[in-house]
Formats: sequence, structure tokens, C-alpha cells
Amino acid sequence: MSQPLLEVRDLSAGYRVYKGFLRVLDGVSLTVRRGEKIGLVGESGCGKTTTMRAILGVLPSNGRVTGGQVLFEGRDLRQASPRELQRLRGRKLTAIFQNPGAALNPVFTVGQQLDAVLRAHHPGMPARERRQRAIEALASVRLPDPERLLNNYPVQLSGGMKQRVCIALALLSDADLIIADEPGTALDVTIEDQVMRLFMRLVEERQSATIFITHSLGVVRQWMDRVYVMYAGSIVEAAPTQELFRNPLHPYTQALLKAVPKLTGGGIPKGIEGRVPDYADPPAGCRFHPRCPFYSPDRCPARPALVDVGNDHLVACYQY
Amino acid sequence: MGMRSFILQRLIQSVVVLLGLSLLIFVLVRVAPGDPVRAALGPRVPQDVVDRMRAEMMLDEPYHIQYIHWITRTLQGDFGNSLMTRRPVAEDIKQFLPATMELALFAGVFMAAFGILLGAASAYRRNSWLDNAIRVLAYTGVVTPAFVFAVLFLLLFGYYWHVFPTAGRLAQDMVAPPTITGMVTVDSLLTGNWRAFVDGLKHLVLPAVALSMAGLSQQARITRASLVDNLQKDFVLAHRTYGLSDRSIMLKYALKPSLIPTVSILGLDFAALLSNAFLVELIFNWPGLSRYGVNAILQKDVNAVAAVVMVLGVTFVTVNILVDIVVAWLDPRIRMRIANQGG
Repeated sequence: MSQPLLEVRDLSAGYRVYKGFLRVLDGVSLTVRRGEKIGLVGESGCGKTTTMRAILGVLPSNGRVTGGQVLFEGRDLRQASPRELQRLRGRKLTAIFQNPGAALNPVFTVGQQLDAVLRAHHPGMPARERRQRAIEALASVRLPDPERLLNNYPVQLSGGMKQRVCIALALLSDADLIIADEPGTALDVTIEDQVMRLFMRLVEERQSATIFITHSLGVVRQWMDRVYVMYAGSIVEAAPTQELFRNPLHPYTQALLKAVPKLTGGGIPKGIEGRVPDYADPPAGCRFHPRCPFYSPDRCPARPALVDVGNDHLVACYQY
Repeated sequence: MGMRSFILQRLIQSVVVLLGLSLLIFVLVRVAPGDPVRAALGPRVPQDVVDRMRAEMMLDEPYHIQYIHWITRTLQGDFGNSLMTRRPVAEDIKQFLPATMELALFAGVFMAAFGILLGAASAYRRNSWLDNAIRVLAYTGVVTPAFVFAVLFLLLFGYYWHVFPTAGRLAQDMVAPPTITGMVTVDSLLTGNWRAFVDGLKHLVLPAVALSMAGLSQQARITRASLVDNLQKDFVLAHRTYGLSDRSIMLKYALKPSLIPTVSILGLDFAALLSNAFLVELIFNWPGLSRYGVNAILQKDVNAVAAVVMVLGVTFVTVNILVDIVVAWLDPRIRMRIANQGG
């Protein structure tokens, strides 16, 4: 286990908008080893999706990576040509999106969409073989009657079926890294659980690594090997799952864990005071300081770096 | 309900629309003030001649009798005689309709092709100088009437630079191809007459382009808006993430859903072409049906007016059925709705 599969170093990115440049990602660093299941958690708007898009090189047209490295198998993807990136995407790196209803093209059949991906990656593959591969992909996500499904349009499918089709699309080739952006949130809870189990089984079967973006701490605790906690565009804490839940160190992580309502009673938790900062004019130094109960100007002079406190546990806070 | 019964249903609806139109135009030309026969024959013709002609045209009968008589004959392709040209109106239409159809079809194809092309270029080069240039041009195109373009083109390309001929359908010394469809370019192609084809095409360019500008600009604007919208959708992001090339996304996977609104308004734009054709035909001395129709209105030529309106109505209805079919082909959601309507 020498070289990690993916190593993101100090990645910064943002969006050009009317009121200026939104510096959303402020030095994100994370490491994914082969076959490792990473949970990436944080509240809405903290930059999880931007991280995903920056890694894949598919930021929207007003988005720009401003610094850092994305090392995939030791190669910096930021230096790769668009063509090389395009060949890597869908083959070695892939993704599953939040809303399966929006992630499928409404005017092409399921079969046509699977076929387009196969054609992009296997130019010489005969049509019959592509069809066979598409049917197998649909069968592998437990969709009934895959042959008929090939001729269906997304509008004819239920939400759960659409999400399975999305997973089939992403897993057409045995990608080494699958980034999943809250793939269950648009589904109802029972379907979400089914899809989650299916997804994790497929990931394990293929021995792929995954970055699972979510705000559900339950999902993280149940399935993930390691957790990265993100706040306002940077990683504030990272640790093996057990360690993080047993011993949360960053004040944000502690507040996040306390904010989860418990079935065993105790009323509705307080939540965290304040909100995610304005990215056009983010707080100087530690971006969490306006909401932090431990903040004092002399103790927290600048942005804290991630430090290893032992047990493979990293935290970015001046308390440690 | 399948596609076939959908088309059948649209055909039945169209027949109802056309019947309504026929009633409307029949009443309109008859309640308008003035005696059409007197207008046609002039003030010096004695009253008994006028009366005889009125009786011949059944203008003295009650309206419902007149209407039944007129609609029966119209359905058989007999529009009666024109007071203006003193010929059967059907003959006149056969003579003038192909010129207008040639103009409108050429303008329509040009409008759709370049409208979509410019709109797509604008969307893909969003916020570049090209996009800004196309947007300004398209905005200008939408607000400028066709006759302004007609006059402008006439001056620029006919008067100052002599690039294109500015009047009629063929040069004086050119032998017209035998009439098959009545459209000069098509007929000359069918008979293999290249010189006539090129000359006919040259005559067609200025009036057709002038006529198409408004619709073209409209199409460009709508295509751009809908492409820009679709390019931000998750499915385009997904296509990119799964490794599809930008080229195939632009030319196929993002373009197809974006064409739905464009094609939907194509029918309306085509109708606008037919109604704007009059001034363009007048300016370029194009012997078409719109010009014939307006002259008929001015002369109170009842049979001719009614016939022109009905012919344009049928054209409009046909184009709209075609547009509906293309939209259903582009958009599976509409096909599903059709399929779920039952019956």
C-alpha cells in the first residue's frame, strides 16, 4: 500500500459570479487508498459537491480550480489534457449524482444512454456486445426485465429505478474510484436504504474505492472506513470512523454529532448557532471562528493546519 | 392511443378549424360594405348587367344557401371565378401559389437551419464576443419588420453591389423550365436544367433571406436560451463524468432536448412567414399568392379572397401537424402523454 489511489493536496476552487469570486474550496486535502470507503460529511453548502466536481474536472463553466493538486495514481489530473481526462472519466473515476431524476437525459432511452458510454470507452466493440454489456449492467443493479428496460425513457421509471440506472451507468466499467454525491437523498427512506445496500455491495464486489458524500452520519457510521469532516471549504477533521465517533476533536465535529436527534429521547438537539459563511468574503483565518465556542484572537492567529494527533486522526484546530 | 390515432385526431381537429375559418371568411367578405360586382365592373356599366352578374354569382340568395353552395364547390376544388382576373380562381391559385410556396419553404428551411446554428454557437461560446454579436443581431432581427430587411438587401446587394438580382423569379433571357411543381428551382432541378436552377436560386436568395430574418432571430434566441439551460442540467454533468466527448454532448445529447421549444414555435414562425410574404413579394416583384391575395382584398374580389384564405389556412394547419409530429418524435414525454390519453 505505497501509493494512495487519490491524493488531493491543498485544493482550492471557486466560482466567478456577479458579486465577485466565491472562494468555496480553501485548501482541501484528502487521501483515498485503494478499496477504501471514505465518508465526506458537512452541512449543506460547505463545498462537498464542489470538491467532487473539482476532482473530476467537471466544474461548471464559471468554476475554476485556483490551486493545489489532484493526484490520481500519482498523476496530477490538473496537468492532464482534456482528452486524457475524458478517457479517465467513466473508466477509472466515476460518479453518482444526488438527484437521479435530473441525472438521466430525458430524451434518450436507458439503452441509448448506456450505449453512449460504452461507445465512448470501447470504440471497437460491436453493437451486439455493447447491448449485452448494457443488459448485464442493468441486471447487476437488480433491475427486473433489463431487456425491456433498454427501450424505456427515464420518465417511465420510478425514482428508485432511475437511481439504479444511474448506478449501472457509473459502474459500466470497473472504475477504481466512485464518488457518490448523496445518492439517496432524493428517494424515500426505504428505497434509499435498498439503494444504499446495493451500492455498497457493488463497491465491495469490485473492490473499488468510494468517496461517499452525505450529511447522514448514520450512513457514515454504518458503512464507511474513514470520515472526512468538511466545514466552509476545508477539511477540519479526518479519522477512522470508530475513532471519530468515539473521540470527536474539532468543535464543529462535536457540534455536528450533538445535532443528531436520538430515538432514545432527550428532545430535539439545539443545532449549531450561525450559518455557513459568505464565500465572497469569508472570515479571515479559521473559517469556523465566528461560530466557535473556543475562539480567542490570541490563540487562533491564522488558518490552522491539519495535524496528526495520533491514531491516524487529523484535526485542524489550535486546541490540539 | 398510438401515434397513428394521434395524427388522425389532429387531422379531425384541423378539419373543424378549417370549417370555422371558411364560415368566418365567407361572412367577412360578404358583410364588408360595397357591392363587389359594381366595384369590379365599374360605374359606367348599366344596372341590368350588374344584376345579371350578381344572380350568376348567387349573391342575391340567402347567406346559408350561398355558403352551402360555395363550400360544396370549394371542396371540389372549384373556387368560382375571379372578378379581378376574370379567370377561374383555381387557375390563379395554381399560377401564384407555387411562387409563394417556393419562397416560404426556402425561407423556412433557411430560418430553421441558421436559427438553430446561430443559437447553438451562441450557447456554446457563451459570453464570448461571438455570443454577444449573435445576441445583438438576433435582437435586432426580432424587432425589425421583414420589409425593412427587404429594402435594405435590395439596396445593398442589388443596387450598390449587384450581387443578386432583385426582381422576379428568373432572368429575362432565361427559358423557364416546364411547369411540374411550379417552383422554378425544383422544376429546373427535375429537368436537369442547371443554369435555370442557379439563376432561380439567385433570384430566391434576397427575398427569402429578408423574409426569414425575424423567425431566424427568434429561433436563435430560443435555441440559445434552451441550450444554456440544458447545459447546466445534471444530465450533461453526468454525460461528462461518464466520459462522453464534449463534441457528442454538444451535437447530440444536449442539443436534442434543447430543440423541443425551437421546433414547437417553428409552426408559428412559418405562419408569420406567410403573412409577411406580401410586402416582400411586392418589393421583389415576386409573383406570389400573398400579393394576389392583397390585391383581391383591395378589389373586393370575394371568391379570390376566400380562396386565398382557405389555401393559406390549409398550409398553416398542415405545417402545424408536421411540427407536432416532429416535437413528439423529439420528446418522449409527449409521446407518453399521447399514449396515456387512451381512446
